[in-house]
Amino acid sequence: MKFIEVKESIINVLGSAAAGRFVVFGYQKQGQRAEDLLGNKRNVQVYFGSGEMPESKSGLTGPVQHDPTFKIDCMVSTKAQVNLSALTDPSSTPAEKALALANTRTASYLADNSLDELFSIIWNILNDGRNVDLGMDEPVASRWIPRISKDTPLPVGEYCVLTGTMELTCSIVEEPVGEEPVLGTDGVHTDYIAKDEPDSQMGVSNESTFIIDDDTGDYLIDDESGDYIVED
Amino acid sequence: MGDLRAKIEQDTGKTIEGRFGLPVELIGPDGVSQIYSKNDPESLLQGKILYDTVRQNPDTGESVIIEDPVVTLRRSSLNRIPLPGEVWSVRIPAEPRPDADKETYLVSDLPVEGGRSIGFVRLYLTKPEQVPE
Repeated sequence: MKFIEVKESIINVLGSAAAGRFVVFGYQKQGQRAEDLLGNKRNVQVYFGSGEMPESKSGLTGPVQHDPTFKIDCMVSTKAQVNLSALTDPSSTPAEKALALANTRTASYLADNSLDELFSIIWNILNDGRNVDLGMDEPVASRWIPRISKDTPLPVGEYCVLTGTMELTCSIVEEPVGEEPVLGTDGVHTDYIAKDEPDSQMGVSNESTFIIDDDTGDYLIDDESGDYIVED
Repeated sequence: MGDLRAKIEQDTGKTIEGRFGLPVELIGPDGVSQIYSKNDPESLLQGKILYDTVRQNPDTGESVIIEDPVVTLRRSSLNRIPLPGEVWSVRIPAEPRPDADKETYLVSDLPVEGGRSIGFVRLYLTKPEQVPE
């Protein structure tokens, strides 16, 4: 489907513009260490979240309008910062130590600033006029970022991990290209009792409609004339 | 019978500052360091240090071991008690040996636990990094 191409294109657009300020992934990572997100190793994870397809008559046999929503999850990790040199130097005066402590920057403060900065960078890249089609060679309509949200800071030992999400929507056209079944593979069986043959079982496979004969155990397929014949 | 509360406070002191006590240096928001105990100015300030903390992952509920030290100090041995909102620095041995090199920590955002009735304060520490120039 087209949304997969659009997702790949978004990843390329962000990756090309990252300039070492963040790292882009095209999927949701399952857990990672807080120290792997420090500084400019902050993560941006792009993935397809959901899609709306308004029903239309032309869509029954032709192109279908698709309004996908892509999720852009941003994750940062920080540590508190203080002038350690002043605190550990035996020759430091109390005034110098007091100044160092007063200028402490907590991990949660730094994480909040880092995520705000990352949001700003991502938003500006995706809303750049040169990316109106999200890097695609064909038009992508209604590119829009309707929402940005931030989660609660999570203390992880000496680190503070903060996450947030941006949503990116657009409008594309999906062209059904059909799927060719692979012969010889097992079908998906759905059993129910046929109306006129209460002792039979009818199943639906990805190849054809078939019945299992209770007496012989043979698979009987519809020969399209209303009769059922034994499947070879 | 004597003062039972005073006896309890003494027992707390033995627990915190006894055989398992480790030297602790406090640096208050005024930059003044405390290295020696207020109760005994010739002895180093001692505290009970746990180098790992067990926390619960809020998303999954599973217990996670965090390598953030927790320091318990006898209140009466302190020149100044840490208060909420103040920024304190604590220097403790990097390993549970009195002669180990010291590392510098900050008192974390978590509230200081203090029992005036029982006579101790508990500080949750976090390891900072050097401010970039």
